[in-house]
Amino acid sequence: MPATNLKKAHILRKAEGVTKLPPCRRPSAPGKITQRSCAYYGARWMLAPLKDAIHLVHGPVGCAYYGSTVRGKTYKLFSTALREKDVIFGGGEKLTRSLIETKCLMPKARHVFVYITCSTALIGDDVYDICKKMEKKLGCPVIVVNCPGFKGESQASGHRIAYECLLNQLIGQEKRQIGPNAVNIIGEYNINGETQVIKSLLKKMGINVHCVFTGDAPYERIITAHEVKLNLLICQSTGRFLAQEMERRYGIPHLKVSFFGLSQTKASLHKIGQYLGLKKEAEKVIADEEKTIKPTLSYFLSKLKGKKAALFFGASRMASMINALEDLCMEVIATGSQFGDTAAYMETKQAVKSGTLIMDDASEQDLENMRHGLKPDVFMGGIKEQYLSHKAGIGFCIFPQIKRAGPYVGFKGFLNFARSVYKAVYAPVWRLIKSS
Amino acid sequence: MKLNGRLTIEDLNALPEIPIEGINYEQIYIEKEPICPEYTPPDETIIPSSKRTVVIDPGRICMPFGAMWASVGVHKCIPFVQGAQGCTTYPRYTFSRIFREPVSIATASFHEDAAVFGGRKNLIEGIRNLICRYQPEVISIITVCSSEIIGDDIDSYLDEAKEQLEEEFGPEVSDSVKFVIIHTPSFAGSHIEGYNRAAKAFLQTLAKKRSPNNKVNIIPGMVTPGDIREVKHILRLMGIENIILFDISGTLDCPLRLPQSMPYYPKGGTKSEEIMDMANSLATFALSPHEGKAGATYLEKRFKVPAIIGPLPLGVHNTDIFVKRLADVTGRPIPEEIKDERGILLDAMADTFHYTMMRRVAICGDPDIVAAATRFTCELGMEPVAIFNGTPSKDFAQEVWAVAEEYNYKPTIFNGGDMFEWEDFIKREKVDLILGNSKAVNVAKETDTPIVRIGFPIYDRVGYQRRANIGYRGGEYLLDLIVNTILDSKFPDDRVHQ
Repeated sequence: MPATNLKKAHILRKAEGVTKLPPCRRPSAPGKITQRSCAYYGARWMLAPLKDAIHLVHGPVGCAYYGSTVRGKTYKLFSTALREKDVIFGGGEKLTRSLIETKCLMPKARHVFVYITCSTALIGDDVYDICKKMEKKLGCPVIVVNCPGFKGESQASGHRIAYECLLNQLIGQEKRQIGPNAVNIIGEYNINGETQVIKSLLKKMGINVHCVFTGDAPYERIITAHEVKLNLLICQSTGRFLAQEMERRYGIPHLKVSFFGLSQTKASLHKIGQYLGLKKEAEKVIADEEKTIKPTLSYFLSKLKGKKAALFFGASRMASMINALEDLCMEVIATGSQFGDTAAYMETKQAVKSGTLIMDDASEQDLENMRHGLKPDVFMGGIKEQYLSHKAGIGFCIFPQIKRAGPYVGFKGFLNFARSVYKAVYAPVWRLIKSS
Repeated sequence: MKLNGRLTIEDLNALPEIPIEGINYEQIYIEKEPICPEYTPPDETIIPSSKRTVVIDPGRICMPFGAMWASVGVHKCIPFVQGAQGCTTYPRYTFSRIFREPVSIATASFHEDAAVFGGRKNLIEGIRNLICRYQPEVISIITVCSSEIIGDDIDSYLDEAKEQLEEEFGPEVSDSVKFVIIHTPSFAGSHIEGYNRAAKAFLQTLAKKRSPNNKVNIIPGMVTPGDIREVKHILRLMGIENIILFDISGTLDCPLRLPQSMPYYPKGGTKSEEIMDMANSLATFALSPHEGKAGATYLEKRFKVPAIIGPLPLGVHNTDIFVKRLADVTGRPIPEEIKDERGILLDAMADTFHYTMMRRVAICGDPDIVAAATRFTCELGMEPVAIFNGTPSKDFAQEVWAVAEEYNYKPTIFNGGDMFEWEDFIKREKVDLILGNSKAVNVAKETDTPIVRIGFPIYDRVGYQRRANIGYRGGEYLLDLIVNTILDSKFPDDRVHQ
């Protein structure tokens, strides 16, 4: 068999004095078993939680079938179900019909998203024109999400496209006075009710959350999202674009925060309190919440101390997850993401100890080698990586977490997180495999 | 007739071609919410999918998925998808959710440059990278909508790739890998057709005539690993040597044993030599008519291996046919054990008909399993009222009508529509039981109807991929499942005691 003549530039070990970062945001090499996905996937990932919208996929039926499940949750999705005939003669008319019909089926919908897929982009349907015309007829904004699968190098381009749509066509459409101490949260996707947890924490401090992109973003709040005082940026790789643009266009500053892990939650609440002049309230909330979780947490800490963890998922929460694991006294030995950018890796590098592997766009094989070589006690990533990890006898935590695992953010969420990691490390099955 | 005070029916009629005249767009209102007093059903005129353009909750996936499923069932075969990255990641999610197993699918990573200049570079470079990294024995090249629309000439690209491989690594490397090209444009057919095409493509590329091998070919279709094991069990009892094309029982339901090989390949799967040998068998059984028929008929035409198409051996009648045909083809008697297994199933049916008979049942899924399940429910004395199949097919409709006529029922058949119209039917005409995949759970919850999960995909419960529904023993399991589900939902606990 041929000697593997492969460059491993995308994998880097942090060492003292080395300032290099793994090269990122590059197209992945063909023939890899990639963990990346397409722009359409990214756009769905961002926009699926928008409830009062019609989501219409202009493309073959498969894209709609797959795209209706986002973060393990099923959403209603309409499709034009492109057939051979439409590919030859154009699918514009089908789109027009479908738009009218969907609006009739869901008259309460406030806006419409039309997703362009590979095939409709290639056959060159004039989707923009059709949607513009239909806007008048349907009486609500019809937004084109131009996210054909081949666009950009990974789902990250889809994230950006989705936020561009919101920014250009919805945010700032209406002027309205909103209450004092109102903030937006950017890059929070309400996984298992995490949005509610964050909201309630902030509410205790006297802060009103106006709009959560996109975990809780009703139409009314999106169009007035530019009226707030402050944006809280949680997921940096997906949300940074939106936060920066809102700062540029509307002069809203943004604060980088994270509610993962004890130390970060505390630091973030302090930060927010300081900015909005609510220092005392922040301290009170922290003291109250910390008291309630202390006894349970100390048990998990004693159990998880010194265990090794490896991470691989979307770029957003690499650094914050590393900090959260360090709060559990665990050691992160490898970390990586599918679509991180320079800023994300910079942050990651600061967070990890020297000697840690940092991988960009690791393929299935890279992960296999990593697991084989480093033998972590627990591996965190998406469901695609889960079962291969099990085959190697290594415990796995799905992140973003599965339904029953509960929210991970905030104080009590940190307990949930600790519990999930504890389960993955201490499942008796791992002992049983080795004894055979 | 106005929508938001702006749209008139004249506007609608001004749009040519698709006939939706006479549809009243007023008062049409759908919400996926539990049936409650506030629930307003949608207007009847827009419910049938034939009167709509838009597809809501499709019951089918695109073709490449079926081709990937088939390829995964071949030993040391990695599908190479000539398309964007999402075309591999989404299916990998789907496989992982259903089977809880790792699935390796390589991508050509189409980006803008490929969309403009074509996928030649991606294929050539991709094949090389894949061989370097994974040393597969078979690579199935699967096209998707984008590469088909661009018009990639896969055959000539592949020739070029092979030449380059030979130049770089020598002939032994380029000859050690077998390539199968499967054309699956996503905008035609469905996953069913993808599997069908894959069966034909694999046999066309690999099958070679040699001396007769006295074996029986089985193309099971998109059934579970458990189903395939059950087929093997029947064949073992009858002492029939066999080749199972796309044997996912060895690749999508694997033991966890250490140490693990690097890179990870499951032990099982159909070997490429076995596929080669399929041209020399006694007969080919395509268990699912829609999934594998093309392969079986190819072998018949090209190598004179008789093709025996369907029906899926689920339920008493269909399994009888399968076993009898096996006996006819091989000339072996039906063993006592199989007769006993049949007897046990019939005994179970005799013990439980009080619970099953005259229950109204709705069925949904892929054509073959739905047709077979319809017959089985009829055998249990249940009345099929709404039968939904995501992939339009004439054969399916004929088969179901034949069953309905035999048992004197008049079911409503939704042949190739979307789940929406079927769901609406269930909301209007209450049923006692739903037989369907996880996509039907929604409506089951909304209407508070018990559901028995069957077919593809089942992602919200564990273990279904390990269980067989086909064969006599599979029938037993399915019957138990049906009866227990009815007992759980229809009878208070104190009345269940015998």
